[in-house]
Amino acid sequence: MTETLSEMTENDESIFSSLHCILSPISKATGSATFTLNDSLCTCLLNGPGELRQQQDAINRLQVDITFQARPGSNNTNSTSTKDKLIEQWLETLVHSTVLTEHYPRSQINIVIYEEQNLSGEATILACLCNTLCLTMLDANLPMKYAFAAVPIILHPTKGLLALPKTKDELASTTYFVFVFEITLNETLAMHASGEFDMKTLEQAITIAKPIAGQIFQFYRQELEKRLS
Amino acid sequence: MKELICSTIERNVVLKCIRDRKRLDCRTIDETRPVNIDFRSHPGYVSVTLGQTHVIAQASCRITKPKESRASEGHVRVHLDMSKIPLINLENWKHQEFVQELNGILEQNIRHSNCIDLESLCINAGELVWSIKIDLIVLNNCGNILDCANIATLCSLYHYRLPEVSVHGSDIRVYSSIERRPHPLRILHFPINVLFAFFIDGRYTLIDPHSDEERLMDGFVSISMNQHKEICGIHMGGKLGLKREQIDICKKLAFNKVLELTDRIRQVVLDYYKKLEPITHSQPSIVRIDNDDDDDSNDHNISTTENEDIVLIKPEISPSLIESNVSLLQMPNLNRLSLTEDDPSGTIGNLASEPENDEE
Repeated sequence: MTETLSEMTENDESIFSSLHCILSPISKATGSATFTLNDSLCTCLLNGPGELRQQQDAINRLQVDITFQARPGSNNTNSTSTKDKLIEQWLETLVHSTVLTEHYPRSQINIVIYEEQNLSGEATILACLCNTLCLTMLDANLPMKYAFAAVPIILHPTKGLLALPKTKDELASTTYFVFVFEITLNETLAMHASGEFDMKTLEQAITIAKPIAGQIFQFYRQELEKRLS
Repeated sequence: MKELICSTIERNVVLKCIRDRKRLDCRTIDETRPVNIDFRSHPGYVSVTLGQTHVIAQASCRITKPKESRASEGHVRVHLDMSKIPLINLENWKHQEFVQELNGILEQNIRHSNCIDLESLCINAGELVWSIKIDLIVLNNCGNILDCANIATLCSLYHYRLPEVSVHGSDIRVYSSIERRPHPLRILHFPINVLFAFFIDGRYTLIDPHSDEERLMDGFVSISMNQHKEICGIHMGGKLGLKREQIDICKKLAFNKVLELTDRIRQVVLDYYKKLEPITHSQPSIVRIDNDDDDDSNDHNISTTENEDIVLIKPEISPSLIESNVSLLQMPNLNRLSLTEDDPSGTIGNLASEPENDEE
């Protein structure tokens, strides 16, 4: 298990102090990562590619099985809520778009994501989940077309658009965006938005989020370099 | 997902080492792996690692009706979930059997040993009581899930904070953590579990087996003991026939480990609450150390009135977020309950989204 903390650069706009990550905390999984974004913490583990169950049918591509486990006890029952299922489906589209599924026919990968701590609202936790997933896939050495990073942006009633918001700001706002960018061309890969906004705000948010995504990619590079050196 | 098959060569190597009283990870036969306890900002959430075995625990509470035979006692339930890890022993039914066995042992240790004062969970005798549930999730199985899960349960129970409730006649009010600081559970003793693995017809014993050793053991004995030298549970699993002297030796070994771990758990939770910074909703960093334990040897359970000079800061929080503050609280659909002070007429507030299930 390698634990790495990122250094603070002299840049005032550096975000590295709000990002922490631990690679391979779970020894028996093919790949695993724990990622912290401000006040949210997620752990993800990946097993595979392995045998397919007989009922499943994935002849010429990889079968991806994602389970998202919110904090246990928040439901009455043990089953996943509809919101969690939405998150699972969203993440599954991300995985399908980036992993080279044709390289592993008749196999499956199992991904389990646990949300460990969430003091802020939905934006930070969604972004945290995405980034944890990407780091896990990188840790598992799964062949990917590109790495991706998610940036949460909120529309604060008085302070305007804030990227990587602090908990206090996030709880005070009702509108948020989460943009997922990919590393090769820094284009938008996926997005999720909630609340009231107009197209101009959306485009402004995208322009604010792009450089932040670049910094997150730098963070990934740093972590993996530390691990491989 | 299945575990890897244990090859004959692996099996022979491990058994040979055990015969020579050596272990693959260079421990002695009565040495346990280091325990690492980590808390998150949510009360009752703990992540425990015993070597590489990783278990997380989360405590949650509900208000329910008590059993008719025990009208003034609350409930405690423990549930261990091993559905996300590779199948043990390669077969689903063997895996399920194993999970059920562990669940049974944990339940016996926690519930039947009366480590929590259930009467302190009563709100209104005969009508409303607290029901605490501990959800355990195994992240990584490197042997000895039972001990790890047990430590996680105890840490989670000791770490958890129950919301304050006030009863005015027939009106019952539950306060969120901004209004009144939640109080800890009343834990009477800590039943710590120690697992002993037996090999080769019960002739060789190991404490805290690693995953390779656990796969090859004939059977195990798990002894649950507290620091008063009381045995809270004893369980034998697998195919074993043991002499009485062997169990006595196990008990002696277990007692030393129990003392260390009890002190460790207490210390870790107290340290956490001592340095708790104000989190989101500005919980004050005052620690109210209750004298919940009847243990004489514990000197650091002194009341800390000198800490209570920190002002409680109330930020402006929109009312819809208060429900996330009441740590994982589910409420039954009764008219007489009110969640916040602003609603004295007795409506339930925002948490009435889930009607109460039938009493379990």
